[in-house]
Amino acid sequence: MIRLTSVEVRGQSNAGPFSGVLNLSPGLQVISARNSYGKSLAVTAVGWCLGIEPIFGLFDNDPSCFPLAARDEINLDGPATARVFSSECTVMLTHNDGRQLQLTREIKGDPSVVRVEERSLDRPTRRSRLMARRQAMQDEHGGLQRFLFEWLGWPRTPVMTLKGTVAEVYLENLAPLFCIDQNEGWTDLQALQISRYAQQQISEVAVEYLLGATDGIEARVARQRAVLKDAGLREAARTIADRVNALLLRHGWSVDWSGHGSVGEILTRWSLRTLRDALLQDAEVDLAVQRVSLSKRAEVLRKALTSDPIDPADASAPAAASQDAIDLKRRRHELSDELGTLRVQHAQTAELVSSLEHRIHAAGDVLRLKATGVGRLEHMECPTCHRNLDPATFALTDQSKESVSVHIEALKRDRELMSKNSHAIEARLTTTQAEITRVDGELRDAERALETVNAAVGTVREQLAKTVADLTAVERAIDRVAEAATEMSELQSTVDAWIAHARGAEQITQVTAELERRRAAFVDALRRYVVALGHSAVGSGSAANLHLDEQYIPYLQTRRLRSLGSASDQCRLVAAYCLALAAASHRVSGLHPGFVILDEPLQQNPDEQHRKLFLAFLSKELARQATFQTVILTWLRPHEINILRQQGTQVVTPEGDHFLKLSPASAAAYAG
Amino acid sequence: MNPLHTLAELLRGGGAQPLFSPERLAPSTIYDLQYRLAITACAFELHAKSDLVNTRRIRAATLKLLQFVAIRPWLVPVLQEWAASQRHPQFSLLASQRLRRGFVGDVTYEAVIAFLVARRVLVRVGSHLVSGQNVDALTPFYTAAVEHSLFAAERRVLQKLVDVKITNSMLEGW
Repeated sequence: MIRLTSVEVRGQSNAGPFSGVLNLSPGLQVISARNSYGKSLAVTAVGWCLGIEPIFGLFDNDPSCFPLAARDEINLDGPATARVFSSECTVMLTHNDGRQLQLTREIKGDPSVVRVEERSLDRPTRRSRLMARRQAMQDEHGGLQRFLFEWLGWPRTPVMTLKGTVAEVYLENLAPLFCIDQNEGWTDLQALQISRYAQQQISEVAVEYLLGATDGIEARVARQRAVLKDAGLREAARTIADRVNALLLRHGWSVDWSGHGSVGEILTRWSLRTLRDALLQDAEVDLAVQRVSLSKRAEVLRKALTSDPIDPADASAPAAASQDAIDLKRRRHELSDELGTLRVQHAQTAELVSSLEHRIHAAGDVLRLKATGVGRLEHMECPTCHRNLDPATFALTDQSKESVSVHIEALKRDRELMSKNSHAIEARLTTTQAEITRVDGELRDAERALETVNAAVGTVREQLAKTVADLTAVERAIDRVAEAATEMSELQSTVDAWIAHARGAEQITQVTAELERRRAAFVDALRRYVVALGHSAVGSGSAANLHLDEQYIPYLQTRRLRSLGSASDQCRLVAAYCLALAAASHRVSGLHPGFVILDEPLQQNPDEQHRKLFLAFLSKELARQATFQTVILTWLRPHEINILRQQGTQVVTPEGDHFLKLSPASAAAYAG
Repeated sequence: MNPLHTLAELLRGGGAQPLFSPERLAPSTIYDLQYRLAITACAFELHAKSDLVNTRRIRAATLKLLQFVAIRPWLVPVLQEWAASQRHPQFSLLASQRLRRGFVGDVTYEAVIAFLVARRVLVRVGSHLVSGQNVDALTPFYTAAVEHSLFAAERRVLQKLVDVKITNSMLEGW
């Protein structure tokens, strides 16, 4: 653990050199000074030297988080101001093992570099210049964050981004849990958390990191990767299913091979049967059997052509060839009729779907009309007798909102039904077109065969010509079946690869017991701090009902704690959360840096009760005996300071009106 | 008892298992008074012509055709084709076939017009409908439809039909 030892801001102005120093002690301390003294300047200097200005919503190296006093024009005691030429700030950190680190970064000047001075008991002082923001984590030699993580002994932890790439946990992700800024820090838990880096679940990751639950983060990242992988697998399954269906439809086979549903569902479905099984069960097509049968037929024809005796009296060949062609033509006609009908059905279904869409839209508008009452003709009075005209007299109905809603639901069901019909018709169109292509090919063969047989002279030649034509047709069919089998086999390999991939992705890392232990320590500490700070919705009796959800958001039974209590309880909740996290981290040997800065906790809701509760907390042992450093910057009244000091709480009251002061010599010269 | 209930009971007696969905009983919004008033208002607003005495008028059959097509946008090409085929009587007869289906029996329109006439929103003058003393009651429908983006598809159709010439001979006998 480390603690802040001092914060210093200094610079040059046209009135001479100026500076301000805040020395800090271990444990709890309250820095009490009036508004506009420059307390927040000191808090900002800590964030600036650590290179975490993005938490203030700023671009890299943008010093706008500092007040003008440090950048442009410094207020001196009295009405006078002086122009600032240059300025910088320094933060001194002390590690428990005695090592010290001094970080200096220019405010007005070159803010891109941080001057680092490492002091150690057993080694000479080492000085270096590191990049504050550019490649701060990635640059092994020149990045400030890389250096800070190493100096603190913090592990670098990968996290997933929303784009599916890998990022890391950065210091600016952790700082919102131990550095509460006056402007926005009190508005919510981790109000200053950075969302623009698009790290997934970064708020939860930040809490787990400070608790030292790096295994938990690893498991979380593994789960996130699994979700991404799952999406990829589903996409791949849909593509494979599309390819399979295209092949099946091209051959005119109607088979149910869907790529819809979850990965688990697809996996179960695709593991149950192969493409060959599906083809056999749904379309009663067995390519292997077809191939064997065709081969046998080819063998018989070949034998008939080459060695079997020919009956010269057999004159049936021309009639058989003719009959084949006639059968195929009839089949072609039937298919053409079917195709025409399907096309009409498809067009009508599409029109029906479109009309249903329109009806749904119109009914939705009618519902809006009735719900909002815009433009309604409310008073339907007869101009002659001045009695209300009942629409029912005219066989008209003014439907209720409920009736319209029910009608919309019915229309939506109809639309779904018609869309399914449309898809079914599309599938049948494709299979019919495929069948027509196949029959066309066979018809061409049959017509050629008929032509050849008719041209042959004598029954023997006729029979030979017919046999040759049949053999050619059978060999073509064998080729087609072989080609289809190869395609099916290739697709089956793709399906098998997908199944293997999906099975590998099934193992999802579970939450470790170690994470549960750290989490329990946090909950325990949070209960104590929430009660000690006087949250009005949580008493010592009800604190046991306080728990954290999966996102580390505090709940009291089923209600979010943020939604309970008074407005000033929000501030107490934020303070309790940060302090409890530091306490729990220390208890479970976590990675919390060891200091918590709370800037202006009393200004958020300056009511008397809030002040009293906060002062009561500061005098309690829980606050005073904390093992980590707590720096509270606020303004206390003299009698409040006395009470706290009497109870042993350290209260620092800096002298003067402003944190930044001219050096005594310059002040004298400037006054002169 | 609803006729559908009666039918379901009869079927059940014969050993059948009828699936009875009461939500299907909800009438279509096509027959809703407010919807039809809104569409009629939009059609009148966009198509009625002003005359010398500062009243607005529209042929009753034209209004019927306009509102009929407005709530069935898929008929727009049919109407356009029919209007374009006026020079060829035989073809014209064929082109109007799909329009005739449902149009002649559109009794809701007749009821809405009867209601508006009784309310003196519109007045019948021969074959025309003329704005009556309470015609202002129609205006809020059109204004609300435009302001709240209601019935945008229907209004788009009516706007498109401004360019389609609907002649007297087309509506002869309608």
